Amino acid sequence: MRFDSQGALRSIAERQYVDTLIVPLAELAFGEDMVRKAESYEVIHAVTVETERQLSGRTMLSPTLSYTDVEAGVELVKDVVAKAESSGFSHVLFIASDVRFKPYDLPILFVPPLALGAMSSDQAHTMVQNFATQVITELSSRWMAT
Amino acid sequence: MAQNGSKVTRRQFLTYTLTGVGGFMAATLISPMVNFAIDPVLKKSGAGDKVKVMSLDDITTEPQRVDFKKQTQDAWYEFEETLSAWVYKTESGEIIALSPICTHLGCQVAFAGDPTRPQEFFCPCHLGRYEKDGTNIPGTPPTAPLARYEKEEKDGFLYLGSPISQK
Repeated sequence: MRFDSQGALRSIAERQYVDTLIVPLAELAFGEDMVRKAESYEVIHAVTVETERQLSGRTMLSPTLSYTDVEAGVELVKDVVAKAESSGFSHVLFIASDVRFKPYDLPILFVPPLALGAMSSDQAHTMVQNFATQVITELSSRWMAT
Repeated sequence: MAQNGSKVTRRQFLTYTLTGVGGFMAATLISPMVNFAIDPVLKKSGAGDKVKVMSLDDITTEPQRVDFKKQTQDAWYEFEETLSAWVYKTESGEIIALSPICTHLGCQVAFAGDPTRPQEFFCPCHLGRYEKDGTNIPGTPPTAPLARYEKEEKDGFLYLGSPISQK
């Protein structure tokens, strides 16, 4: 479900079933690199929306967390994980394309920052499907492990 | 006073005429208002258009997933919705198009999604299971069979409409 009033009501009512939070994590920039950051965000957005569409019964898609600075981003991620887990979400998964998060031990799945806009709509669709399948496989294995 | 051969007085004639004309004028005023008020309802019922999804030649007895886009209207707001269907042909040649939305909480099921059960639909979220024909398997979370799309075969292609609940 999504983070809207209906989704929130259902998530609270079905908390035993909705135990996974998916959080898009995107960098915000306003200079020359704005285009590249926007491309990354497009991939992250498309993949998380598609994942939620396929797993809407067990996952909640959070609004995008954005950061301008990696250290601050790390703190933000830790804070969200702690709050979500203490509220009953057993699984929290972030989707990002910024590899600078890799050294930190955080629950992030990385998607490559491709320019979807430069592809044909069929190509883009296939690409997003493939990444979403990776996210779904990752979540399924986490679910199986518990 | 009534004339010979007629049961209608002048007064009655005028009353009828004025009621008729008045009623007509009232209807002219009110019907657009009613129409305007219930417009979203009218629009929705008209949105049953079918979308071309695949060639009939590509349909096999093995369910395949197809994605397609459909213009959807939610009251006043129109948007493009991505839908999926699992399409296959039965032994007798009948085409079945199942909606992958799990009837439990709305995840998407996949055929052979659980490799140990290659002839069933499987929901990864809460391990719901369905037979190949969409019937929910008792003892798993779903309580209703998968919905089936309205379908039409035309000029060698399969067209799908809205999913219809099989409850």
